[in-house]
Amino acid sequence: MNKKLDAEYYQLLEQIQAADFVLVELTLYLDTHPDDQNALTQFNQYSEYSRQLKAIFEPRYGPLLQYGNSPVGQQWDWGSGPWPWQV
Amino acid sequence: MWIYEKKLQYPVKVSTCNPKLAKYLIEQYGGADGELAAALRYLNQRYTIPDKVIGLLTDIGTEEFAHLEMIATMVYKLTKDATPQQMRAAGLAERYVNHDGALFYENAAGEPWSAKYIQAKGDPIADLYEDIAAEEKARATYQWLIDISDDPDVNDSLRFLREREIVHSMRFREAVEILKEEQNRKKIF
Amino acid sequence: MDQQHEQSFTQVKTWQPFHSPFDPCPPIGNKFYRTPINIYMTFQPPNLEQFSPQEALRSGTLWKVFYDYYENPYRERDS
Repeated sequence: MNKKLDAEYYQLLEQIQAADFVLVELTLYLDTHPDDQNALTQFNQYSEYSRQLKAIFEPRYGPLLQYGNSPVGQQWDWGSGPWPWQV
Repeated sequence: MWIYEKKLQYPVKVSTCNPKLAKYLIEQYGGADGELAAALRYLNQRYTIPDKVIGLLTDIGTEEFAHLEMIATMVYKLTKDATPQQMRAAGLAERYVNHDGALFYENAAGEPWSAKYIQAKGDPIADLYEDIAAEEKARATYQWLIDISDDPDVNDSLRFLREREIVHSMRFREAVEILKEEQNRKKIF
Repeated sequence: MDQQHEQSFTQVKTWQPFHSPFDPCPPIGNKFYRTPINIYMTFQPPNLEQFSPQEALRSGTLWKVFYDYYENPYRERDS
């Protein structure tokens, strides 16, 4: 059963995509600059920020991560559409 | 171990109904310098590369799967509503008779993906220079796709993917520097 | 895009292929190739200027110095 996607869905999703993108960039940077403490601090800040955004997103639109890495409520939401290539 | 996250890395949009574009985009799906080749190349090399750079190869390799998904999304959106007649008009008749609208790991010329596109020499300098070259080739391919496409939303995603190649190339160059172990030493030849 | 520091190199280079009097087609004139900043840097220095998260996502990179907007350089000749 597909979820209803309102404008808020797309806005929240894009905020998450932006936060997670910063985390990807910092991850690659830290892989080659492991001693950069400023980058590490920024990484931890964004990691927390991303978690907060997902704590709002997931109860409404379902788990983002597979295999129990995202909380699942009383319904098995994982298999519900739409899927990322469909939105 | 891999965990899938149920979102695209970047919000992909396609503004024009033009299935012909899918024929070119597939080059970055199953082609020699495409995202599948990149992901498999880096994730395979990482088993035998020096420990200092395993993290980088793992992380870039994983990101390439996210890019593969973006290309798949563009192709999917362009072909999901195409009738057989529209597929034929778009020059996709050969793909249609084999796959209907299904995606497949092949290049724009219809050649299936091959492990011949990648290498793992076991020598970290050779492997990393192959990776740098792969990123530059992918960057160039995205340039040619942007040239060929006139869909502004597709081009927006292609520009994102091209920019990622620039950053990945930078990281692989840094990995070479790390393996050179020269950063804090005085150079005397 | 503005650079934080003085830019002493360009992101695009041009060259002209040799034109023979026997060539069947009119010469293309300038050919272009890109030289994004990553090929000039051995190691990214720390504390470079960053985009905001939304700008970073749209640009494809967190650091302004790496941003290289690409447009078809042959566009004027298409029509």
